[in-house]
Amino acid sequence: MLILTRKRGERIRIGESVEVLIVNVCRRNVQIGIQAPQGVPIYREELYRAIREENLRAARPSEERLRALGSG
Amino acid sequence: MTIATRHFGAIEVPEAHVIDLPAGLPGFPEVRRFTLIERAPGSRFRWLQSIDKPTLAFVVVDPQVVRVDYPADAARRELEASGVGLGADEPIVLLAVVTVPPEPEDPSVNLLAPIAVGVRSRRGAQVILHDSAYSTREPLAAR
Repeated sequence: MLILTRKRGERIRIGESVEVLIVNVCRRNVQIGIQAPQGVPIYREELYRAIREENLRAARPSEERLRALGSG
Repeated sequence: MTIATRHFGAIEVPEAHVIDLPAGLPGFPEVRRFTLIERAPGSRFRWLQSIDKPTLAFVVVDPQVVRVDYPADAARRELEASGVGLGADEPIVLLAVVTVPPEPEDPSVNLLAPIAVGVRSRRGAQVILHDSAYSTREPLAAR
């Protein structure tokens, strides 16, 4: 993993179209601004993982339980 | 087009019934095209059947049926921000993904990240309701 040191107000550019701005650093929090093309989804990592995991679980419904859900 | 599905055998999907999720879904980034299949007459559940991966289908439900106070406006704003190109007055459809695990776990519904689709463009995305208190595993309310 590439690790860079940046000060408040400085930026990082990823490829042509993604820009990351260090907005503020306060105690244990870093505020980050991200400019990316529309259609590039940006997620907090833990949210992305939760949604991904739930999609993967939902993709394998239990046939038996499905029948039990009936037409409800 | 005809697709060979896991749950329904071979089905015919008219072009006008294809739903496009350009960004795919987290966990399935390569799967873009889906179609909706009614599960049973009168059922609140439907199937979101993948066209690109015919073995893949999700049980979905309208989140406003599961929670009457569901913030559909917030989902609409997230869909607008996602860049799929929603018309100003275009109605949207919300599909919450239902997880149906084996016993003893209970079925749940992902109310944090519904799939929102423009009715006319039939383009959509799985959006996140950042300001809601919902999780990816909410209990399915009794009917």
